[in-house]
Amino acid sequence: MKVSLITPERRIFTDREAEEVQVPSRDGYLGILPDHFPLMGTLGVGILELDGKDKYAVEGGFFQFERGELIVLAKLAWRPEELKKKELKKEREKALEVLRTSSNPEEVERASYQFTRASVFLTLFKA
Amino acid sequence: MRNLQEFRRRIRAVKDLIQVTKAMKTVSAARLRRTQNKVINYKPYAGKIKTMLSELAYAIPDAHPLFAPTGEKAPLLVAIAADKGLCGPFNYNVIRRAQEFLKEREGVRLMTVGRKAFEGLRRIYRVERNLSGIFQKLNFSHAKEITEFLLSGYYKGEWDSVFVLYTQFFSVGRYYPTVERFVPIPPFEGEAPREFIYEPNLKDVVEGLIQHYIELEIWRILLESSTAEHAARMIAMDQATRNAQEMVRTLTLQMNKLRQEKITKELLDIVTAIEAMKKSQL
Repeated sequence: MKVSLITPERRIFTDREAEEVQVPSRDGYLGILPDHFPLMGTLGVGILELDGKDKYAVEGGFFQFERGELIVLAKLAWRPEELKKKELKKEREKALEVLRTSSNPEEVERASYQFTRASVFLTLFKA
Repeated sequence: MRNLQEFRRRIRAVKDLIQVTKAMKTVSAARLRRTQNKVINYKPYAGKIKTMLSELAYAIPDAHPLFAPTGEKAPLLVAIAADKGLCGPFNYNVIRRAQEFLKEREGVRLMTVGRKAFEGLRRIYRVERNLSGIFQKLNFSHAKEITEFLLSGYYKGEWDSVFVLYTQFFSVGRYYPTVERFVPIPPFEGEAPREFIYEPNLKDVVEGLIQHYIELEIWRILLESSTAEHAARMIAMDQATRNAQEMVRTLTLQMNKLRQEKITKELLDIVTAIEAMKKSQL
């Protein structure tokens, strides 16, 4: 199937061939194979993975699969080399600190989102 | 202007003016490059979101009230121009197009964006809502604010369709005011699947997509209008610089002529005096 990853600011890639794609939907990962039923969904925060090799960090947006073409419209997306391990670790620690100390439900919600985001993106750096 | 000093003063004043118009042109050119790139990069994404939404409208026409075709009996017009002038006919073109729209249709509700649109239209029509002073520091929250206004009125039944009037940008020399119908959202024209799996569910996908689509389209339109404004101002300031340079040339020419006349006259006086002295010596 053909896969494209596009954000409002740029095209990360278009029409790349892949046999199997893992899409981070809002409610968990979806595996898509070329003969999948037509699909529309909301994108969560996570790693878009092509054939288990090419990985991209995405955050928010939508995706659509139909007639052998998967289009991922991410509000934000990065190639792994564009992310900084140090910054993500710092973000994760900050979020963890808030989770330990705060009791404000809004703050806790934001921090737990930040924690998940940083943790998921950090998996890109493990060998 | 009979004396040289006055000429010099005027030439100096026009030269100062040239400095201002040149600086404004440079600023507009820099801003134009910045917004222009944003608009160009944004287009593929916007196009895909629109296709996705229209395919959804095609697959399930009653999935959302915004998909239902309406009679356009009570339209809302959002007229977008600039906050500032000095950009040639840019603002005037938008206002004139708005006047046409208001004449063609009845029962139009009007929202203006940009101070010049508000000032130009409030004299002839009731402005329901106005958003001014945003173009200096344009950001996404402005798009959100406009979206919220037009959607809330639509859901309350205050209007049954939304039209946006703005200046479309093609290139530095080509930009035209245009009216785009925003809602309702027309279904996809052509072949598309009738059935999809919706993840996590239809309601979340439809509502998320619509909100995102309208916010992004408004954002794109604000950027595009602002790009066209910078282009218009750049051209207007370039023209002003040229006119001022032409004026300096004319004034300098006139001044030189005057000076020449003065010198000739003085020479004449001296020569006459000498001749007179010669005669008296004889």
